[in-house]
Amino acid sequence: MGRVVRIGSGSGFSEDFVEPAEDLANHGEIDFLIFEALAERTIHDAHIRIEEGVNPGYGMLFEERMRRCALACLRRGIRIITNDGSANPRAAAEWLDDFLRQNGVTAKIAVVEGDDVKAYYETHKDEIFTPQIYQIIAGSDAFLPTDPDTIRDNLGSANVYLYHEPVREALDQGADIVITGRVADPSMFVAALSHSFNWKAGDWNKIAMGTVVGHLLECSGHSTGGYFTDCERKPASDLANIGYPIAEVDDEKNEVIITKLPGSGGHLSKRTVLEQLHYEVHSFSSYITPDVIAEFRHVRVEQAGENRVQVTGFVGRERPATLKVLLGYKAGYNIVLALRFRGHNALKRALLIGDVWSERLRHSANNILDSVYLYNDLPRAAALRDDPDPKYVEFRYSAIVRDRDEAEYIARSFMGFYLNGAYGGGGVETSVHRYDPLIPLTIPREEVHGSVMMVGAGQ
Amino acid sequence: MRKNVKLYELAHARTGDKFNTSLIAVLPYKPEHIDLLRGILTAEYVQSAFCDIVRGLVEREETPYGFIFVLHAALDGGVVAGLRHDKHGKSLSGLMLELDIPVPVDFQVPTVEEVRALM
Repeated sequence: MGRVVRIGSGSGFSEDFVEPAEDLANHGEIDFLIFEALAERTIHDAHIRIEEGVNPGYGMLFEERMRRCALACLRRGIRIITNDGSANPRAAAEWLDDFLRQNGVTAKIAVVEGDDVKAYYETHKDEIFTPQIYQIIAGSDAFLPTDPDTIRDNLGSANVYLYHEPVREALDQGADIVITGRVADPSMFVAALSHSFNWKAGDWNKIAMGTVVGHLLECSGHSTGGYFTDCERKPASDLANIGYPIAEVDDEKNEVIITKLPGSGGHLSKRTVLEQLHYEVHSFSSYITPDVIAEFRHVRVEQAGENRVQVTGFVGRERPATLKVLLGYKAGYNIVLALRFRGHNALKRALLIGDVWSERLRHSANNILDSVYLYNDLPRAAALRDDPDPKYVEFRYSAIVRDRDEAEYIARSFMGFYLNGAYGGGGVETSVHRYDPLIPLTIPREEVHGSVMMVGAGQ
Repeated sequence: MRKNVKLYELAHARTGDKFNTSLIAVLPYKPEHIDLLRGILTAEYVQSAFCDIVRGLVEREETPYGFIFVLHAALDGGVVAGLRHDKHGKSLSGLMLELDIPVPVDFQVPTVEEVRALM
């Protein structure tokens, strides 16, 4: 492959817009189209869908994305990489193989597995889920409304953030399409570049370059005018037709150009790229992925023409010894209740309902694990500080209880505020959902085995 | 003599989240305003402004382009376990940009047109 490799961003999460990816598949001068599709909750939610028989456990838009993009990509020589296989990449690959064959096409489809580490936690649960877990969780700021025994006895899913190597191996084996479960977002981009330029293991600065490319493309429109405009100082035009970013990576110059399709909407400038460079970064000295610890402090971002932004200055150091796992477990039910007020003293009336509701709960329910009272989504004091007399207020109560019947009784009993609350209270909403929190854990690298399997007609 | 301007007149912001932590980047439109904000928009100031929302500590790191604020235990659980409507805390950047920034009375904030040209 040539000196410059071009990667298009096809999605930034599982429910992202499909049309901008379709535009890239049809018109993008790109070598890879990468669909990032896994936010923190996504895989666990997919496991719940498997359990409840809703779908096979891959992304809810995976089929639509592939129907609209796969044939054009294969025809135009664009290789696809996606973690939209979610909790069941093998089923996703089988569906795709079938779809392609129905359209008279065959392709080499690779499945990357090894991210499901639930068996490790089943084996070691008595050592891991002890009161010590509170310290581990506290260090990561996660929120633990339950006790270690509840986690141990209700393990739902455990997926490790895999590194780039198995994805690169799939590409090295000639895969046209690589479908994975949990692979760290930037790792898919590192894999594409590492394969294209034959990067050596341990070349941390190169891997940092790939990681920055991944970071700038993994949230799709985030770099091209999405999540940006304030309707005053920060422009974005034709957002309905937003173009997702393309990275042109020059391996000799160690230079990346971020661009987008001519004629597409949104906004691409030094400023949109800078916002995304800073997005969800704890520290510019260490952006930690399974592949590298990247130092964003040295990254320079400059406008290089209309719709072209130059990014340089890639420095990385050795990857971390452990890998991150997200573990989800069943902890009970989440009750969400809402009631709205308008006009003079709307907040006062909402606060009164909060107080009355709290008092009523004291007399009846007693298994509430945690709860919040919110006024326009803010706690009482913050709401008063934000605006002491807003003309519209939503009172919201959200709580976790262990037992479904109790949750449903509490939710139903809130509706009495239609007749017995403050004046003008309306728009009551009540819902009860399964509550499966996720906690972050680390696992030794040697316990994890990323693997590649080819499926279907093209192998 | 000093007056207050709104942070959104000087900077833009982007919010992200990891678990129960909110991460808010504040990027001044003009590089020289990094110096101005360094002494005013401190971790302590943000901590006190968000005291009713954030249960943990607020930390600040300066980058070549602005500041990253790390707001620990800020999201009532966050997207993986959260109880709020805005589980990610995406809207917290809007609250951040509403903060008052005391400046000398003769201080001129950049005009809307001036800022648009930089965006």
